[in-house]
Amino acid sequence: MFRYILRRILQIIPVFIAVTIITFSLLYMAPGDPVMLIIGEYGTHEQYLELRRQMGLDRPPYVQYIEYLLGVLHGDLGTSLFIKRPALDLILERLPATLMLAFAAILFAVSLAIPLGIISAVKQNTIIDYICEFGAIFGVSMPEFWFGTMLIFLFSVRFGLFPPSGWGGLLGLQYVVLPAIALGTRLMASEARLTRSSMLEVLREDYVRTARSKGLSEWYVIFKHAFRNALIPVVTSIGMQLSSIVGGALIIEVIFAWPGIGRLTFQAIQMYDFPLVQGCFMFITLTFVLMNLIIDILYTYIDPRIKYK
Amino acid sequence: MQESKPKQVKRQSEFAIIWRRFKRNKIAMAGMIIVVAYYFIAILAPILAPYDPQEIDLLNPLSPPGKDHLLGTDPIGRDVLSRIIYGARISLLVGTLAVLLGVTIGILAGLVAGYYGGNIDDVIMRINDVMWSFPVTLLAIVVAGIVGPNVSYLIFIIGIIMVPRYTRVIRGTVLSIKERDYILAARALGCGNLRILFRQILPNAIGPIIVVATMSMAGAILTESGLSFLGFGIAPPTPTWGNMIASGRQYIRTCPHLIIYPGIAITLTVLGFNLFGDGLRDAIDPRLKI
Repeated sequence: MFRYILRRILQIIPVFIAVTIITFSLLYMAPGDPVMLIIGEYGTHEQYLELRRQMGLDRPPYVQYIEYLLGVLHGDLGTSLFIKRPALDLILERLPATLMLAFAAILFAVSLAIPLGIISAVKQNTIIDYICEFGAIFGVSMPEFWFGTMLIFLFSVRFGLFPPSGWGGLLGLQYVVLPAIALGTRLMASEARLTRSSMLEVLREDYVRTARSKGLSEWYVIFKHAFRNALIPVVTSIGMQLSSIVGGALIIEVIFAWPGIGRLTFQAIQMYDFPLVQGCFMFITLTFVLMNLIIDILYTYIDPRIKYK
Repeated sequence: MQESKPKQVKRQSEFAIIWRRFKRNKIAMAGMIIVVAYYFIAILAPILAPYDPQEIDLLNPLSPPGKDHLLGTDPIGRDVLSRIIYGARISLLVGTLAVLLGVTIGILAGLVAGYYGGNIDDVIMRINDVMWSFPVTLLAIVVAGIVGPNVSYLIFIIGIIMVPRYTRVIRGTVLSIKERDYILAARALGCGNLRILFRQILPNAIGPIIVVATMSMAGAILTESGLSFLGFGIAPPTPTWGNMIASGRQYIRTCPHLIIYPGIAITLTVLGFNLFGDGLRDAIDPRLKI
């Protein structure tokens, strides 16, 4: 297992290189001259040359890339062109808001998905199961930006229960309810479906039959024998779902004016603040890669049956 | 004694068997009907739409749903229903072409990786793993945001981020097929690698391909609408479901119909593809893990 973990950590290296290359080349994906995009048609030639130098575009691309890579390795994610501060500082300032939203969304999703999935599986082919299943596939099909907007319409505009947008600090719980539901619903729906199918599979296993024939109570069998084993694929799939949470969080933060990293990225894109876009993208992607690594390693502890070649 | 007729064994094509299994699943049929209706609406938009989606009527701005305009009008008096109908075209165009692009690349990569194995397999799967470890939705948002509104880039981006999925599914299928006897027989008859790949293996892998492609249409439509919503997809005045919701947001207090109906259009379409894909999977191969 130690070798597996080591190998898994070494696999990060090509991913890291790919991340830096893609992040670096974002600057070259802009249509036309990125310097012109930023200063517009009214800039002077001196301003143009100055900005060009500042963005490092006066040197050959490979030199720029190597400098960029060295900077990243030293924790320098670039400096915002407009706010004139290191991108990493700006990102870290917004980290608490993003973490709060992500945590609330995942908490909402998991705490509903698992009970719903278990009930569906235990009551398979009853009306409860059908309702849960249909609700789940509906939840997977709704775009979160629309669902979020509808939540604002219903619960803020119509009923005035929650503030429509903004952030009330880490203790402003009333602000986090709607964005967390909007962001967490897709995760909740897909985890509920997965819990259901995983439970159904486990309930057919021999050891469940053995447990039943021993005369154990049905609830004991479901929770002690079936549920624990059914949980394994559910836990890993949260890792797979992280990708859509990361993208969804950006949209949700924009809708709810949530001062997190996603909204910072969005604003940076709109202003063509390339270093800040690169910094945000780099930061989010590396966090994402690390989280997946941690989940994979945890997985080896949760499920010792798996052999790692 | 009556002579009993020999029982006729009716040969059924695999397609007929799958169709029979599929037909029994009412929910999947509903999904298929939604999908077919969606393609019809998109293709026949000029005939079905009651108004020109760009026609401005400044005397009737923001009118609520009613007799003249079934789903109301937007801030400059354009008919919401007609714009939703035309919006189906963009999502269909982007979704279908993106899935085709992704499937084509994924099939080629998966076939080669699964069939030849060895170093080629290692290289392709390494690249795949690297792509897999990216938060692809974020990548699509950032790239689309920087490149700016452009249909071909949009199709390219949405298509590319789906490739790793296809490559995995195809490779897995090829690995399970390539050791079968009929492949060995084909080789014994002197078939070349290309012929085996495209005439023997690919047709047998078509089921999983169709299932994945159907399911990823749902994802492609969602991604397109999200990008359009953020202003990184197709720019107004061309109506898309995403940019309609985005521009309707400032009227949330007074005219919720500007937001509600385009959202229902997205949800229904995506729901249709999801149900259809689920049903196809159950009919073709219930064990398929996607």
